[in-house]
Amino acid sequence: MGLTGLVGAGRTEVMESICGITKPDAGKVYLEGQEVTIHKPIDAMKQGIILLPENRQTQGLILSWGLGRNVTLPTMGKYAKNGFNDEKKEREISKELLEEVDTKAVTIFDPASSLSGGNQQKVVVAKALGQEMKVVIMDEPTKGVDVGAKAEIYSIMGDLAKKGYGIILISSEMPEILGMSDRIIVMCGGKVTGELSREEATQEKILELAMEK
Amino acid sequence: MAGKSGRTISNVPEKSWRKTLLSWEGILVIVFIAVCIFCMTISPYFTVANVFREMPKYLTEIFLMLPMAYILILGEIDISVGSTVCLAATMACMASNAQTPFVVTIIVSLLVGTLCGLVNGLILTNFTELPPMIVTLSTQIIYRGIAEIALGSGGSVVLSDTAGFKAIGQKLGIIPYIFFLVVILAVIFTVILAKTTFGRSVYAIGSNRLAAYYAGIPVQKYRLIIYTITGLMAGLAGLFMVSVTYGANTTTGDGFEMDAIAMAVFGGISSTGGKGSLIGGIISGFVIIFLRIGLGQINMNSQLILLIIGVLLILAVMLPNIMSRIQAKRKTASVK
Repeated sequence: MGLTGLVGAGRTEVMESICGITKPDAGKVYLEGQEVTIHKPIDAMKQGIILLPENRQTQGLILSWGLGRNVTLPTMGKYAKNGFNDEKKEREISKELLEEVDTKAVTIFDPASSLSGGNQQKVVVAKALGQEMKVVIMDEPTKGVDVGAKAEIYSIMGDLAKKGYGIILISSEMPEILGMSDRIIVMCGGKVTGELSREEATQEKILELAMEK
Repeated sequence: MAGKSGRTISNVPEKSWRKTLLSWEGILVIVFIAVCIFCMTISPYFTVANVFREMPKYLTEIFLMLPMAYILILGEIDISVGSTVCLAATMACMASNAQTPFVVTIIVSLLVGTLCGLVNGLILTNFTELPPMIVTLSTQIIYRGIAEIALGSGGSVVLSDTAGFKAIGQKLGIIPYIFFLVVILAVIFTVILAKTTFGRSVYAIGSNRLAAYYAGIPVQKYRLIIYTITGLMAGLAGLFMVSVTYGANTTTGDGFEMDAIAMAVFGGISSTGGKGSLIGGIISGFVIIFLRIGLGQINMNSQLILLIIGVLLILAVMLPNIMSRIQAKRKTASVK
């Protein structure tokens, strides 16, 4: 599913309130037909709703930390025994995940700040892959990412969709939205202004819905 | 599973004794030994027995340094702990003078401390935009104010029955009880910080609060816990201060917060958050304590001792910066 609209249309805000980052004014979240209550980010994660935040440098990664620690940050509690971190297992899992997304790094101890934007984004993706998920919300995953890494991120998204996970892609880039989504929802001024299927969607139609009337 | 390009990433941690020795903790151990030798040469009274005898007064500051390290790693600061010590000590003395059993006195002291910490924590977690420095400055004034009101016009309270406090001030051989307590608590605080999910979360919050929050770490809950524990430890410090001074007055615990911060920072814990370890803080705590005892024994002016510790502290903070500047210069030189 693609969620688009002009910048400032409230796309990120909607997704953040779904994930419990910000408090919603109103509304309910339904997952697989059932209402779920989410107050905090951890509640969303337990339900399998994973958010890849828009700003990877300030929201997605701890730049001064090694890649491995970044990848296992949301999941370290799962591997821990009685609250004690299982460093060995974390190292194994983060190595696997980082190789899966094909990060350009020498060791899992390299600081996240040493990577390029595209590779940092891949680390954020690896971080999400380590969690049990049903729905992945990707907020502008390809912003400021080089062409090669963009293609790799698209292929990871394709793989995830094939495995049956729901993906919500937030993007301002028309070709990306048109190319990746089965369903496109357009927002404007904080409200949903339209929903288009893959077949009927065109740049013009989306723009028309995205513009204020 | 290897990636599409078949690139592999190493996950073997690098270990070398040189790195350990050259770390800040390694340097601190050397400084610690140097301070011991220095004190032994300047003071003939600097013996194991004497050091242990004079130690309890200073060890109370280690109680404060341990949770303070957590707060500094969070990237925050709590300057109300000195006043909390004063309030807890005052209340403990009053409880004791009211002829309550000694257990009640202990509970009063710890409870007062915990409450003070809880108030700090509740304010800071419910109004997250407030700077901890200002909030704890306010509560510092408030807590000391309450203590001064309780102390009345005389400004001090003296224990009428010292039996209970004498008991906790006892020694096992030459080692005072408080030393064992400090060791136990130091181990607990260090292990939790270095090895547990909670500890890692503290570093995460200090390094990038937003990313930690997005990763599902209950940031505010952890902050509340840490501030409350800080209060509890201040209560414990207040209790042991009374066991040393057999009373409390308006200057009890004065400046303790700064001493605790100094120990932690000298131990390599960054006040901007996310960096440092408690091992460093504990070693540096003992460096400062030994220096104070040693210089105190040769009757050095106490203001002069403060001056020396201040100079050492600023050198310690500057050293990493100087080192990195030299390294950067070398790099540019080798490129040329």
